[in-house]
Amino acid sequence: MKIGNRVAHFLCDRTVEKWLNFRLSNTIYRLFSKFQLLKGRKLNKKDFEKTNKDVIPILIGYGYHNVFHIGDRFQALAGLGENAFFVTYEVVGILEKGAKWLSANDYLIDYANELDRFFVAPYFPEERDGRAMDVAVRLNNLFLQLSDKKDFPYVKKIIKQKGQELGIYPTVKTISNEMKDYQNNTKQSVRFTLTVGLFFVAVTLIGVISVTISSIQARKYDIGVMMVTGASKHDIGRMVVMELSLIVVTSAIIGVMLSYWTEWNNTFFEHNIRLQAFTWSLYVKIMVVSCFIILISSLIPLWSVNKLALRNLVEGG
Amino acid sequence: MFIELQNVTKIYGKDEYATKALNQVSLQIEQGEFIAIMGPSGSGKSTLLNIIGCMDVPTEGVYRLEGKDVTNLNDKQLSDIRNKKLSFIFQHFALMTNFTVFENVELPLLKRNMQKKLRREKVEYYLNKLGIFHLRQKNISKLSGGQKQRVAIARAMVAETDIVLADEPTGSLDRQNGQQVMELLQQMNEEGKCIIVITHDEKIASYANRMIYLSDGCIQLDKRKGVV
Repeated sequence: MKIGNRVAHFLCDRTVEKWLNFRLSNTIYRLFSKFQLLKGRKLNKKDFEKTNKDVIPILIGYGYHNVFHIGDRFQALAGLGENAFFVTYEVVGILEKGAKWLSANDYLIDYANELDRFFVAPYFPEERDGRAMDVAVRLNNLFLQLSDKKDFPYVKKIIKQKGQELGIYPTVKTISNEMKDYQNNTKQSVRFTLTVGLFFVAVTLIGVISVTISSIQARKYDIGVMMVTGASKHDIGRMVVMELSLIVVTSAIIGVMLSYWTEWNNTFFEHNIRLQAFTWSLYVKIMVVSCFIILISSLIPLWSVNKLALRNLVEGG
Repeated sequence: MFIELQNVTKIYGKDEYATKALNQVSLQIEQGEFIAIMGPSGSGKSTLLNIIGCMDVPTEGVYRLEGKDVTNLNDKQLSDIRNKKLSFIFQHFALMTNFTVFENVELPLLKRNMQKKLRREKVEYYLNKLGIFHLRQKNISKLSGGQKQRVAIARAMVAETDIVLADEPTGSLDRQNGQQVMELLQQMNEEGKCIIVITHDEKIASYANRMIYLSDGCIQLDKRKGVV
């Protein structure tokens, strides 16, 4: 069994030169299990025990293999404002082209990310001096690579035991099981969303049909007048469908605008997180659902128009 | 023959609920006639007018308008006839209550693909003719009964159809307004239009040159003025 390393990501440009300082960023923070190296050595247990004052070993992505060499040292600024400080790094390994890692945040969706443009450090400098809670939160996903999958039950048992000793209850799963759970959850989410969506479509349908029928009933006399002066049932039906379309399309536009506004204003910590849900395909789907609502909700009102007997409409005033 | 009904029967309802509103009615009307249809309530007057006005179709028999059998036409064809050949005046005016006077009078022209300018000129001409031009922007709900009936007559005139059907046109009006309405109908008749009026009132019927008396869905009397 090999314990996975933690990875820091540096904001730096592919063309950066080695004597420039880098600002360390913790906006993207990931965990990994295994790297394939082109040159140099992997990170080891001792590397994880170094302090911020020590020279910290680092692996560089293939994209920088012509910029840095094994043994090169550089400084990166860690922390912000008054708390900022420099940490010195030493390149100990160069990652193979196309080396990949697992991402704690999105490994289920985007199974592995290429590391060509990444630097890999054993920890964040801030983390080293940070509070235990921050470290615990950052360590909420830890990947372990087993040399043999038969070891899994044993490892799981050990982790659970250690967790209990520490008063925590970790979930231990293989990635394939996690994938299955994720897929099942996704299916359930889709089913739930569909159920809720269908419920609202049904409510909308009933609402629109009721409003339209009431509107026709309330305007029977006016409809009669129109027919007396030459409008056919077809003309009246077309008018009803036009009115329905106006209601449904206006509602759809307002709904989309409200949803878009809600999404735009959604904040997660200090970052604007956009769900990226508003795509052309979504607009097409909304149009299709709107047309469906118009079509279905037209049927009963149109039937009621067809049932109108002109002789009864204008009698009695 | 302008209007011809042959053995027209109209039955409402089915089986034990069936009611015969018209029974084997045969009638011939020439262009330019002024006809009053009279009879007690339930005698079939309105049913006859509805059939002549293509608002209803006979259960049996044949109805020919300008020589063309309209008995089995579909809704669209009937609506075209209503628009181009027939005009209606009702006791309760049959006006769009949320529309203005102008918009109400304009209604029959909307289906004729007429240019807006031409439509406006035509509507304004008839509004002037009936002395209600000043009311053109007023909402119908703001008008008196007499004014409403004038609007209905203007709408019938603007359509420039050869047949005007009036169902108790003076029923909701006072004597003076009723008289004015009948004078307008008489004027339209003098211009060559065929006027068919349903009425209970002998005085109103006296404006017509032919009187048809209906009872129990049958024509009991068909009398022309001056003919014994």
